[in-house]
Amino acid sequence: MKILIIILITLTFSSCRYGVTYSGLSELKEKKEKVETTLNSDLNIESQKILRDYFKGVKEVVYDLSSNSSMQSYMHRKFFRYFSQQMCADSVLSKKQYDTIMSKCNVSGFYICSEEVRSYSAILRTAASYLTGSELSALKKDESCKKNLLALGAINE
Amino acid sequence: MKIYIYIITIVLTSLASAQEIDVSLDDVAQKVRESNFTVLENAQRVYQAKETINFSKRNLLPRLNFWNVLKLPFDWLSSVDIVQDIAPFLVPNNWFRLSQNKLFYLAQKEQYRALWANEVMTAKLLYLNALRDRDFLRILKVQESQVDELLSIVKSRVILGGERAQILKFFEIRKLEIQDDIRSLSTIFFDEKKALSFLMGVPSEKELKLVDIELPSLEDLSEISFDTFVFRALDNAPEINQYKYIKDSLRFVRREAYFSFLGASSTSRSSSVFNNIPVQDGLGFGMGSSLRIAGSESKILEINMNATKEVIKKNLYNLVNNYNSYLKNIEGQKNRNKYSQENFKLIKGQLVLGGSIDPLEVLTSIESVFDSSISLTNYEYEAVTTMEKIKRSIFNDDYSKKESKLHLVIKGRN
Repeated sequence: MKILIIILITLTFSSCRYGVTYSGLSELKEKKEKVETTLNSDLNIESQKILRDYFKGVKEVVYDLSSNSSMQSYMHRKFFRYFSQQMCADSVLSKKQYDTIMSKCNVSGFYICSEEVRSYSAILRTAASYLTGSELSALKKDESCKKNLLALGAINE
Repeated sequence: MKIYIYIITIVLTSLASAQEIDVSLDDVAQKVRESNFTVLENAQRVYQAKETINFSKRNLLPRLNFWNVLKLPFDWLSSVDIVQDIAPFLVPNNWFRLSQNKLFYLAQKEQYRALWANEVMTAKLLYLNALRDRDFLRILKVQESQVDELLSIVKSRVILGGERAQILKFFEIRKLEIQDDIRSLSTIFFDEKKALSFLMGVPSEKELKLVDIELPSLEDLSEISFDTFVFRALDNAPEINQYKYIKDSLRFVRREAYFSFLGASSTSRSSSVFNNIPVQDGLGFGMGSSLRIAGSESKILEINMNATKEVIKKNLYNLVNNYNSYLKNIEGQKNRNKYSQENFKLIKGQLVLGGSIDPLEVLTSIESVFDSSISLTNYEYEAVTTMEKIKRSIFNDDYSKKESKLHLVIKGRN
């Protein structure tokens, strides 16, 4: 009985943990839309917070993935079930949008945005490195997504 | 043969002791990263925290405790007790400890980042201070030569009976005062170089040779605003991030209290920060107290975090205000120096031509040139120092070490 309870608890906890990461991934779309609303205005504390939320969100998802091997295998198992071509456009900024943000982040020779903004390409590169060949090919099928990820330096040709 | 070995050893030792090392401001950060004693010690603590995670993970795997196995034939009920040995992964508190240790590792990394940045900043500011003192020395030597020149003119006037002898004594006293200032400042410069050697982990026997820096043209810089900078200062501060990770780990301590009826963890924490939160081994009436103490601990962390935020904001306000005030007033300082130089040239020209000028008036002019030169140099170095402190607050340039999680993400596969 004691052992049965322990197993149940363990299973509950492990599925909850993946659930948090999955909701983080689905929230990226909403966060990205908020970022897009700040592109035409000057940088202030509010817009910096919006940028932070999106870029930190991307980092958190990649961190969870990179620090948990069970989550990686879970992702590979479920990838084709949940993957859609729209995911890339929904959660990744275009190179042009990213460059606009970066130009605003440099003021009087100082860099003033979240560190995650500056490290966006490196974070995406890490995320891409966890995908298998077939998963990466599925991503690259969408020509605009492939172009954008290449421009951002997230993937190689 | 022996004597040759002695001679070679002595020659090599004297060569090594007289060795000079050229150091530029850009080298300082690199040297501190590689050789600073405090940074190296703290890096070991981060390594220990990381290794504790590995220990916690491996502690979830079965292990053999010979005495517990021996008990089995006599008492079959003791098989339940050996769950911790044969299946420690079935004890939830072992998992919670693992999660805590992962977060403590991130907190330790943030502590390291703060310490590392402070050591780099201290070394860089010391370097700038040493350069400033070396420039002050140059200005003092110029003043000395100007007083010397004036002294010889006054001497001739005294011999010719045009001046009182007391004036000569007065100038000699002033000259001795300047010489003493030069001696004191040389000693300070020497001390600063030795302190810098220590911060950079360079052996004391070696002599540092500081390379000059190009001071920025302050007129070309534009003023900055607190509102633009405060976000990054708070967002990237390791001092705050450290509290966040520790506070995050508190939820696992609460879970430990809830699940204590399934056995206590056999893994230790890599940090002693929650040692004051008691967790019962087994189901008991103490759980409520444990949870309340954990709640109180959370409040303490929140208070500390808010206090740290205010300290960071206060410092940033001062830095931005100083920086802007230097930019605003640099023109006045430059004019002050220019006018005093012109005034000195005018008076000196009249004196050389034999004009009836009071030598004390010339001395006042020399001192005015000295004061304005010192003030201008100080101004320029203060501006650079303030820029350096702002860079430390917002983790730019030499201080741009990545936040713990981000560092791990980027390091992951690239």
